[in-house]
Amino acid sequence: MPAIELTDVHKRYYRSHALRGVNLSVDRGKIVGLLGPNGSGKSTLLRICAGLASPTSGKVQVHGQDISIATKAITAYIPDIDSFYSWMTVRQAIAFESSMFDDFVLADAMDLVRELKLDPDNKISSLSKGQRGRLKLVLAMSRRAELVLMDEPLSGIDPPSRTVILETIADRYRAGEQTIIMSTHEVLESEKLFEDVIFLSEGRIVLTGEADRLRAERGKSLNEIFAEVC
Amino acid sequence: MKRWWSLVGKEWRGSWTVILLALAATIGFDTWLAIKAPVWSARINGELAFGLSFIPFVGIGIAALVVGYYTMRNEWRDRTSLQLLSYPVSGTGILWAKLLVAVLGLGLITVVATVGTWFVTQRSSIPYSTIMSATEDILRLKAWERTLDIIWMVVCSILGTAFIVAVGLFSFTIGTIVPRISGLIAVIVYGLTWYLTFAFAPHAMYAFSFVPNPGLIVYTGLGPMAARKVIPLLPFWPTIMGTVILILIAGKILELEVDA
Repeated sequence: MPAIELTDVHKRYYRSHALRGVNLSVDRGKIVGLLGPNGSGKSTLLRICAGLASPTSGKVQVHGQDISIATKAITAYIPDIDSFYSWMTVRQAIAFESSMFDDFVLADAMDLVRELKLDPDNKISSLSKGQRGRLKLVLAMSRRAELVLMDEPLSGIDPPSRTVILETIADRYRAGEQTIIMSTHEVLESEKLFEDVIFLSEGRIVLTGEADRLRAERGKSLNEIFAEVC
Repeated sequence: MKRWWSLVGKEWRGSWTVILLALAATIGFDTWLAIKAPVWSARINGELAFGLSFIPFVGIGIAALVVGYYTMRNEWRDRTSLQLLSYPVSGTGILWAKLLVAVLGLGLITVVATVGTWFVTQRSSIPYSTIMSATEDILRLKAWERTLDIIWMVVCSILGTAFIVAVGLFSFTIGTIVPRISGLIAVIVYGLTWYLTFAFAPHAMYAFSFVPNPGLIVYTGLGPMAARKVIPLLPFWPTIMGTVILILIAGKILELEVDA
């Protein structure tokens, strides 16, 4: 049973067409790169899988189930924008998140907070963009979630924080048990992380496959393939 | 249920600053009235400060009308809707949590405003005849009858407030189906819901007059001719039904149709 399966998924916003008949099956237990330029439909696709947007038509399943409370319980979602209750402290945000998900491991969260150099007593409203990016990661990677959806986790983050974020994803990823789908248009930095890749352009999947196979077949890096197909 | 209580806690902590400000304003205003009451009683009118002490209740009424809408709007404005809707909690669960906290907050401010009015009354020189005419009917009730009446009036106030808040929650949720004009849609739905409420309220109250309703005990007539009557609170069941229906519909829409 695939981690996610999309069948002829369309998403319209008035006159614009964010997704145009997407058919996709993502195997479990892999880190998958969802690559595409701005406006290609990456965020929409991830939001639909997270149950935060409804497709205009088509079918979406996570672990063989239609999107529901049950699929939300096994999915960790990192949005591209800051979506925090800014009046909370880092500690309160962690406590709240842990109360919402049974698979949240509080000890892991506190380890990550130390590792990523966040002050648990800082208010979220006082955190920098980079620190907020790290906090998003703490909240998602402290869970034993079977599916992790990361929407542009490196976007707008300073270079040192980007490195820390990528290293943390690689360290904390539970190979074989967990599926991570990470969208980005900054392919160069993150391409070594991906086992499979999906290239999205103008709401359509233009290329998909194993990262190593694509590199070998085309004799190019993922970044070069990205420039070619998107 | 643990998740739902967590949401309630989050809502309460998120609203606490506004509730504290409202409490401070109410206490400040009533304290000012209490200081002025003896002066005004001697120079202007003994009932002036007492009358003005009802102003916070007008504020509470206005707050009840908009709090449901704004509590939802803030989630979408701050983009925390992305976080909120990613939790494994039903749409109705989210709305009931918001409703409960709104009613609790408004209830707390109402209690403080009531104490304030009582305090101002103690400091005012209200004519004896006015006090007698206002309390005559209440004093004729037996202690248990008075207690029962107060309980039912408090229950009905809570239910009424819950319905008003639910209309706001419902209207905003419907508006989010069409994000580009969500505000306009919400305002239209809000107006339409109130129109339908007033249009169908008499029919609903008639329909529910055949089931047992709580009632207010009153005495009519004077002296030995006094007769005890129980006035049925006919809006009781329709208000509960209306609130539940609005939350159920809005909750389902929140789960299925709304984009965070």
